[in-house]
Formats: sequence, C-alpha cells, structure tokens
Amino acid sequence: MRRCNTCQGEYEPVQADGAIYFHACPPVLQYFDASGVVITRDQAAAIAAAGGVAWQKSVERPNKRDENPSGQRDRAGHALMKAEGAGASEIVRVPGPLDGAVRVTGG
Amino acid sequence: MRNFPVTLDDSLQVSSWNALASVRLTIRGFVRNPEGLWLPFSGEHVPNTDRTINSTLIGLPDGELTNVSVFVSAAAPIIGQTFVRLQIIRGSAAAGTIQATLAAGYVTAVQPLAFPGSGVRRSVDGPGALRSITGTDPAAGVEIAETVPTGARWKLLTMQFTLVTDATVANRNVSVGFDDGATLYGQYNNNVNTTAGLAHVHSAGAAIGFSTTSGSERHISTPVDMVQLAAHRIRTITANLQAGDNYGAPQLLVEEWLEGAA
Repeated sequence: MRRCNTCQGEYEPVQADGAIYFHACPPVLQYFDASGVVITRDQAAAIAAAGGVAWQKSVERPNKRDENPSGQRDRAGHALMKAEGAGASEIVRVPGPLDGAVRVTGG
Repeated sequence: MRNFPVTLDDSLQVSSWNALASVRLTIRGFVRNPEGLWLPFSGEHVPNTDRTINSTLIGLPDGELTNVSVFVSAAAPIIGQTFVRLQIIRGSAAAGTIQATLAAGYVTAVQPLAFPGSGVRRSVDGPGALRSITGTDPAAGVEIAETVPTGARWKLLTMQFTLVTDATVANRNVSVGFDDGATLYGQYNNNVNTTAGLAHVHSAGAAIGFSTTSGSERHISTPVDMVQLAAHRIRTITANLQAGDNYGAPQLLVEEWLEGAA
C-alpha cells in the first residue's frame, strides 16, 4: 500500500489482476463568492446558509502527483512519470473487519 | 503460404505494448536459405508493464522467412493486455527502415500471434480486457478521481464507492463526472441527497435507469458505450462535501484497450 504525500490518497501500486496502478491526485474544490473572489469552504457554506450565492469549481491540486508515463525516459530507459508531486510513502494497512461493510438500516 | 525474402541486413523487430506484470514472450520461426535448408531462429522479448512500447531486434539469416510465431512464455495475459507487432527492419534499430509489417494483434496465454495467418489488427479492434480496478482511497474531504492511464482506452461498465458523511448538517448531493483531464463533458447525479452521519454505497453504471435509492444504496446512471481516452477522468463531484466526509476507494469494472504509447 502506498500513500500519496500530496493528496494523502492511499492505493495499491499493483492491482489484483497484476496490472500497475498509476495514481493521479484528484482536483480540489475552490470556492468563490458572488463576485468571484476566492473564499473558504466555511465561508461559502455560511453564504449559502444565509441565502446568498457562492460558487464552487474543481481546479488542479497544487503540486499534483501523476504517476502516468510522461513519454520521457531517463538515461537507463525507464519511463518518467508526468509529475512527482510531493512523492509517495510505503505504508502498511491491515484490513479491518468492517472494510467494505455497509451499515444495516431498520425497516 | 507466402514467404518473405530477407537478407543479413534485415532483422525481425518485435514491438509490444503491455499492461501486465511479468509477461515474457518467446519468438520462434524458420528461414529457408538459398540452399533450401530450413534454419530455425528464436528470441526472447520482455514487454514494458506501463503500456509503453518496447522493441527487440532479432537477426535473420539470408533466405526466405517462411513463418514466425510469438507466444507467451511467462504470466497469463488476456485479450486487451499484451499487444504485439512484428516488422521487418532493414538497418539498425535507431536508423532502420521498416520494410514490412507481418502481423499485429493481442497475444494471450493460449493464443499466439503468427505470420502468416494472424494478419495485422489494430489494438482497439474487438473486445478489450475486462478489468476490476481498485482506485485510490481519498483522504477525508477529498473527491474520488480516477485517471485513464497513459496508453489505455477505457469504457466504464460499472463503479461502486462508499461515502461516509460526518456530523455536519448539510445535504450532500453526489454526482459522477467525466472530463478530458480538465473540462467536464458529462455529469450525472443521484436524485436523493445524503445527510449527516450516514454511510451510503453508490453504484454508477450505464443504463441503470433513473437514479433510485434503496436503503443505504444510491444509483447513478451514466452514458452507454462511452469511451474515454488516456488522461480523461472519472470522478465524483459532490455538492456540499464536508471536511469530514469520507469516500472509500472506488471499485471500477472497465473494458480496457491498449492505444500504444511511445
């Protein structure tokens, strides 16, 4: 298991079918007030709760990591990834008994 | 059977694009020399595992190439995972000229590629590989986003993910969006909001009808037969996603073809 140091997403670098998984960070949400000024998520929520207008849109994550091959190769001939970002860390994650479980609802 | 004339200046170039670890290919064939003797030749080729091209040159004796086969000698790729092209190259690998393309197509553990016989097929012809993919488990407050890998072409068949909402009172509305790496070209939502403190399983797939809800399940209908190119994305877009809301790792079933990356 690996953790992306940019987005903190966790992933298996090799899939169950033997194929390599190339992680790429998801975009981030950016919030704006009615005049287009960048605000925080909480500010946007407060504006909306008060009946005002706030906007959100997805933008690329700063220092995004994208492990997909870039088309460039190093001197040894290895494919270089599109963007290193902040790197990735190997982690040990023991599956819990509730992994994949769904809450039981009454009725 | 039609033989192909070759000289000592010619080589057989084996090129592959592959998405599976540990694949190894063996190449064997015969050249009939001017004296009428059938001379066997053979070689090994190890494809890259990241869908980028890898090529191997195999020297050939003077004569007529009568047949060549490529078969899988390690791992067990299925259709859609290991694409091979056989060409005759005159000169060196860097400065050679392509004299002929003999065969191209997918190889599997039980289906070799052969000249003559297999023909020249495109990597996007026919069915692709059916792959069940576990995506990235995003941190709390972060959306799911899966990127079509370099050198691949995907058709999303179905996708499942869990959203656990925190205690913040708000109506989250989950949709699945498709973009070209930057700009959305489709966004499809569920018609039921998700409130605080819930754990809902969302299933998105083609032709599942109007968004419905059943207990802790949510359904999202996505386009039929939509194909995405490399760098395109499948992602969630959640209205009112809170900092403590937590998506689990998505599980996707996709049909994948190799496009042939450099």
